[in-house]
Amino acid sequence: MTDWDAVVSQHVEIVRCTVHRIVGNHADAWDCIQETFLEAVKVDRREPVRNWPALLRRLATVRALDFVRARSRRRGQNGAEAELAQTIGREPSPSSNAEASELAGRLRTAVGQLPRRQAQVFCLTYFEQMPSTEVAEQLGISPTAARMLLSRARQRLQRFLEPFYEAVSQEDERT
Amino acid sequence: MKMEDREKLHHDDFFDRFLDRAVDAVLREPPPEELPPEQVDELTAVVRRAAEKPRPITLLKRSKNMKRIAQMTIATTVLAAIGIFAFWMVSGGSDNLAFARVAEALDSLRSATFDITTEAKGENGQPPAIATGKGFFLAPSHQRMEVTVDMGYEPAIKAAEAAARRAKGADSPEGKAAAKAAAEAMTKAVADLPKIKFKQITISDGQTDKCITLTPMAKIAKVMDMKKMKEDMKKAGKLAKNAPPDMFEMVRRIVREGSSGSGEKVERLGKKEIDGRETVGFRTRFHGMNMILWADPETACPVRIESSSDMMNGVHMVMDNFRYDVDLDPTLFSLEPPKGYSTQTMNMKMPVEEDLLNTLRTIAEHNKGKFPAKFGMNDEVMNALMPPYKPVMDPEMQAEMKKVMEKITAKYGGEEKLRAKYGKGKKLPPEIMAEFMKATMTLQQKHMQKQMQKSMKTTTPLIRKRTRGITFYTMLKPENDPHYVGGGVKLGTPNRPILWYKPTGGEKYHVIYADLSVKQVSAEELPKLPQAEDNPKP
Repeated sequence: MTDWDAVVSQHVEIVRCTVHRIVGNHADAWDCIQETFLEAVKVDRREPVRNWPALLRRLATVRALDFVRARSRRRGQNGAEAELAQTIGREPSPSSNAEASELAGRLRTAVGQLPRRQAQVFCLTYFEQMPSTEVAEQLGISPTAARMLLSRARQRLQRFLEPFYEAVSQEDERT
Repeated sequence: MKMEDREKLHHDDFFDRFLDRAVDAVLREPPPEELPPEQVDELTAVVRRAAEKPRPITLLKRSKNMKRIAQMTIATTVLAAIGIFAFWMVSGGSDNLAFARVAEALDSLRSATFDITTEAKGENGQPPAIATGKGFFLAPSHQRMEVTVDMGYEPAIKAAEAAARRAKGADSPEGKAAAKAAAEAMTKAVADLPKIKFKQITISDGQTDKCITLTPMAKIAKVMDMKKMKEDMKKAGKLAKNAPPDMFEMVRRIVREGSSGSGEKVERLGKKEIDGRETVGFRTRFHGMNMILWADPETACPVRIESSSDMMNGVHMVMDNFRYDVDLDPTLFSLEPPKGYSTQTMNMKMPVEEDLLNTLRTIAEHNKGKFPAKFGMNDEVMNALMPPYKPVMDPEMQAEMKKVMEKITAKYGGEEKLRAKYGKGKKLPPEIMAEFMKATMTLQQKHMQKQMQKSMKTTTPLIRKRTRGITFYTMLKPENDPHYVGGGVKLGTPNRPILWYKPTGGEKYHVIYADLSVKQVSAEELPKLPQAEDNPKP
């Protein structure tokens, strides 16, 4: 039988950080953390878990993305796009910390607009820094499929973020 | 390099750098405040409660087991039904006098009983599954098949074994020893539990085109009327002209008229002693069925029939212990649902091409997006088509379960004492664990009828809908020249044929592609795929 006290105490930080990277500072992050561990209980019943950190990072990513997507749906598609347009339209902040925070926020909003599988592959690759073979194993797809999904995710993000990064690149060139 | 290409590269390069900065911004964000200890404790308590919640229907929740049981009952019923008639239909002509005598002997029989044993070889390391049963025949056209599959306690033993192995480390010597101890304790615990057998009874009357399937464990009766299907078959030209009203009459007609039937050539197998009796053997093939028949040379009555089907790969059935002209109670063949059974009525309709497309889509969607290696009643197809078994635990059972658990816990000094002794880091000894599991299983058996009724209410119509495509494919005759070539092909692949056949009465072939589009082509335009040579439908 799995020692859940140990699993939670050893990995709660990993789950918390993974959720935070996608959801940001949001009160609902707590729900995502809880749901991640409850999902892990179900997985553990089905099959022996070989790599707890990898499994929990994958489950937390999926939960957090579902949460972000549900939030977008609640606001309506137009609302989500408006939010993205609004963040893109803003002038870059003079303070570098504030600028980084805004950049992070923009990326999060755009990732929330990606199709489910593409968003999962993107987050596991970029935010969780997993190699494509591990991403593929965690999502039950082939490494080729994982690479293809990542490439599509990047293409979409490029489209979503184009107005903003063009503004940033012009700013960079000026400075 | 063109100007636009250079601009694009420049553009992509900017995006790469921008993305790196954005990802870096996410990764460098100050970590969120640590969770306060009381929140971690709350989380641990929630997770522990979820993990300790008794698992509903340990024996049945393994849908693979249920799928295998369903597969075995279907395979046995189909093989027995086809098998017993098929060899009658291949009655020999003048060059097969001995075989013709068998058919004649059967023509005059009043009633018969026989035993059935079906074995399906295990796939993916699973042990072979065995179904046993009994068949009854009453002239002129009544038939009853009882098929029983021993559900056994193997899943529960395996679950205990796996849990113990996980607790101590999957590959460690301690893990292996713990798994062995848990399996032994579980085997001992369930030794005195009654055996759980899944039984299905199929009663049919070829003259009225009615059939009833009974599941005593769930007390469910499925009443099927085949009349509509037969009419549709007639309209579609799938039913032979001047077709006999049922299989039995067809057999009689063939025998009476001395026809040679539609089967392939009968091969003589010589003599063999079975159960101390001398028998003579014949081998034949009929619509994809391979059959070996051993008959008594004196009476010409079958002693043993062995059959397998190309559509059910790895399934082998034996019918033996035949008894002829025995007195049988006519109520055995009643088509009325027994008292206390809940009834589901099904009007069987002839499946059409759209059903085939739907079935192919469902299989691929549940098979990692790929079409199966073979299209028939095999593990790969059945696993994809059978919906997962989701038992519903009712409040009454839940309350009872809680009481039983408390009783066992009290026996060992209460929850606190047990937790202090075995909790956190240490584990329950296999004997106590087995006691908990045994109690759970006993309760599950008590409530099984209600659980299965609830589950079958939703799954039965779904299974019927999903398997209609297989029925469509099975009904195609050799003259329809069907071929399946979709093994491993990804759903949605454009311009990749996966199956073709020639509809009855049609001039052109229907070719089904991996994106499930259908094109009509002439024989000359048929796809040239090497797999087609290996996979013609029988």
